[in-house]
Amino acid sequence: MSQDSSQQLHKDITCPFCGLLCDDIDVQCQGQQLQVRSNACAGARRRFEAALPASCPATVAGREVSLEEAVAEAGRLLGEARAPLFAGLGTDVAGMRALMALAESCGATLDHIHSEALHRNNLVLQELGWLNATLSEVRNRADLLLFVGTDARHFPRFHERVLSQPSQFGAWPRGRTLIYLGEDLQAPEEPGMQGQHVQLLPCRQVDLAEQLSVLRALLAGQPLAAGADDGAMARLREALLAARYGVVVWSAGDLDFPQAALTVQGICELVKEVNLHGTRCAGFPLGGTDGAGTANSVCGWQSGYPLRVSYRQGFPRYDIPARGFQELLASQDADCADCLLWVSSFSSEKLPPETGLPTISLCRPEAAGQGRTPEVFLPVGTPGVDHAGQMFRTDGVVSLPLQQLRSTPWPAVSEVVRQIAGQYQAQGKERAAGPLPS
Amino acid sequence: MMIKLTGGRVYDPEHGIDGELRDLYVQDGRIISEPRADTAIDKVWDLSGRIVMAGAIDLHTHIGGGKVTLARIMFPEDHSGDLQSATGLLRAGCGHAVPSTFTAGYRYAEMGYTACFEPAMLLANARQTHMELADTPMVDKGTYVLMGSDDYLLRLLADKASPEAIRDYTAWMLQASQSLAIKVVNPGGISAFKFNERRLDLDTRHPHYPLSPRDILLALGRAVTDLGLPHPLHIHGCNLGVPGNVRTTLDTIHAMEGLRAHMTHIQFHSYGDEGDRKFSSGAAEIAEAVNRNPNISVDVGQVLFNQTVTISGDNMHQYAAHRHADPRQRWTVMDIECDAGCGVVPFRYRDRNFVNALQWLIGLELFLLIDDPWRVFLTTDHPNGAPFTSYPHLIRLLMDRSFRNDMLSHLHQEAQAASVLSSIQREYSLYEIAIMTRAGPARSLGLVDRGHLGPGAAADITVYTEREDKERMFSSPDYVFKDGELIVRDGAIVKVVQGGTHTLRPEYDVRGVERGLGRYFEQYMTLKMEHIRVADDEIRDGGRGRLLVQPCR
Repeated sequence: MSQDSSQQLHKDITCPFCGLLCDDIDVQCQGQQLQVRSNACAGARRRFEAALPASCPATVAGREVSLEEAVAEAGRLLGEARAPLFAGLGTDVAGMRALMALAESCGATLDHIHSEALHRNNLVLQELGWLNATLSEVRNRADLLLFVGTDARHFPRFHERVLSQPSQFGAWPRGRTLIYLGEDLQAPEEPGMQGQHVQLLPCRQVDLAEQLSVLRALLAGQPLAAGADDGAMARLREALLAARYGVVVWSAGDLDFPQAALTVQGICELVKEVNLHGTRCAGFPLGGTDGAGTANSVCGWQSGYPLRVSYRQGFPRYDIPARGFQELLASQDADCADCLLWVSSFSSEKLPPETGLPTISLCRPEAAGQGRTPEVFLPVGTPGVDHAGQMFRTDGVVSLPLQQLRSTPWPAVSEVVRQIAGQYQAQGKERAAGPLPS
Repeated sequence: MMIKLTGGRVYDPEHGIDGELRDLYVQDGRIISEPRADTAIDKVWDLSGRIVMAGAIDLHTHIGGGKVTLARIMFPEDHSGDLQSATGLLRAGCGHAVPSTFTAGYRYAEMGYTACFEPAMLLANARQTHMELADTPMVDKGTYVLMGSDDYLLRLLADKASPEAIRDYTAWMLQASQSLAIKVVNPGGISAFKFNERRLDLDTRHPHYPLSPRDILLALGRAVTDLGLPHPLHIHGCNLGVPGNVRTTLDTIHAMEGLRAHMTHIQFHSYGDEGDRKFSSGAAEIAEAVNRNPNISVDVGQVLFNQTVTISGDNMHQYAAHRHADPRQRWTVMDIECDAGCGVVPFRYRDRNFVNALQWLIGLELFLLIDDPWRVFLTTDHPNGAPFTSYPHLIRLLMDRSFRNDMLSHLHQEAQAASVLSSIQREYSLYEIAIMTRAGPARSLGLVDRGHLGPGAAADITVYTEREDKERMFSSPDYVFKDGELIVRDGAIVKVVQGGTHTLRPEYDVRGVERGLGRYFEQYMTLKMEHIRVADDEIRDGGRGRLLVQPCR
């Protein structure tokens, strides 16, 4: 490793760009330019290696200003707002902690860019709960993987990380069974897939819940209507019962249709019921991209509720079903939202939604000049690239440290939000200014 | 800053002080000996007529980590009656059985507690637990790392690794997770559940490893002793909640072969299976065994009647308990990272239910039949028996026999008849309460400068007005000082402070452990060994937190 910090090989760094948080990535840093040396998937490589603009100042109404001026304007806008909406929330633990503190101070509503998907899982937790496993359990124990409505394509190294390593409980002499139930699903072609038994069970996404009910009825020994099953679900039942440790994988983001929470519920019911039939089975949720799981967890321990939470009335309020930020913005009702603070520190493509409301945008510098010009633009660094941090993995249990790989002028979300909070409180307009994390 | 607290009646069992009038002097957050007469005193607190104790210490309370946040998210209705708005001083949040982190810290301080210990932290979840505890203000914190179903340990034992190798791996677990003690939960059973076993008795062979829970307990008990860890192995035994488990618990006490051991929430492990309902009190036998074996300490895990949520690392018995979930159908169990597991099951204890009423009776029998208050600690296994906010009520049950018998008379009739409680005369004294909530836990955990009021101690001090109604007395202290600063007045927070994190730094062969363990992580785990370790700087968190390193024995 070079001693020169501008030219350095970082080994085994954690990738923050999807919920798998792969932590075996080697990245070469030359000045501010990063080059992936090994292990990253294509999407992560693209993000790590994205060229940075030569400079990217903060702006107010499109005009270049100092960070201090932009922060002051953001504080002023929040001071004028009666119903601020903090959305996107693509950040790390420290960023989310700072956003929670500011939201309490100014009575904001909080919502993540992926909270539709989060909400599908949270609703099932609050209706049913689940019986799940974490990533290392899946790697070591799963002799059957049933993918429902997903082939993990948004988590490109999932198969590699689960399949290409041996189990500590002995080899898989007959390979593992991988069954894909859903629409337009494909098993990936990669070395770890050799010797595995792959089955595709095509099914429209919107019909998954019904197929799951058929499967559960078969499991419970209930009579089926004629033609309800062509034999596929009966064979799936046998496979689940024959497995030593079946794992049912879903990705709430891939179940994007009305009432999709019922599909997640069907999956979680199925998993629980298989355990009543003399063998083991566990669920495994894929998600957590753009810090969704991180935001949900921090919100969970600080407020007692998952996203979406509102501090409009001072205390944390969780509505079921709460309206998402898109709906709040679309309502054009100033009582619902009259100022948008948007946070996206992982992706320059996730711009603030188009809205006529005053918008404070905390985004990657590459987002400058894209889309509608926000009232305030504050370029921020990416956790695990421009600054250190902590994030939660897709299983919601393991969290990992993120490393700083290079030195850039863009501050962390947590830093910018603390400064905005300072400005906001200096106006003396706070409803209830709690102490901010230092 | 020199402070004098004068005229109070002091209960400081570590120094044998039983309600004597004493003055205390505090300088820069520490208690000091009486200074020279010409020393300038900056502030004098007149505590005439009041009761003075060290800040209380809860050595077993589930207030932080993944399973607690799962429970928070699963039960929005738990919080809905107890929502907290942000004030100029306090952060927003919510209370009840699974309070938010900030609110938990405030509520503990308001009851005069100044330290809390999360007793079931998984290495795989250590970072999250410490992040949550960092967001728990007012109190000092500490954690016990969970072992006994971690596959690496079971592999070492199966391979007949040397006691030194087990000892060093145990030390590594403690340090990597920034813990203060070693916890074992259903030894081997959490792992066995992943192999589809639904029960694992003390001497049953594990389905995969040639080991029994007894082997695991003894190996860990020896490792804890060899390392000189102050707190003994913290044992949640086999068969939690199973009628007849009193035999398992007695066998477990004997299985420790005289090694020090702490049997936690022992109420849930003191069930007989006699009578028409095949459920009876085993409290007398357990109390007798505790009285006879000075190497054993316990905390009770008292049940009180209300809605709560049970949270445990014991995935096997939480899975079994899902049949009793109340409200029904909503429960979560997880298999975690070849390391451990967890389960979250809601439960409502009802006084007119025979089993629940007997659980209440068994807990109180244990408190009152165990002679030595230095070896029995006041817990409800929060929130598993009841939320920690019910401690003042529990203290009254222990101190006030007529109140206790009055409560008893409302219970399920057959349960009353099945218990000896009404015939027990004992009432705890203030001195004994100070032992079981302050001096005892501090001594057991090896917190040399907490739990007492002698020179050198941290000035964590709680001041009460003595009242006939002990519930009222202990609900609302007049003053609470944390490290010499007034943080609570008349039961309300007046200053928000950030506590530290108690840890240990045992000596061991780090490189020797990491050679084998690093290889294991490379081969089988889905993250690097280096990344599962919680760094000192993560606890310090840019100056917000601090490490309180306690000495080994």
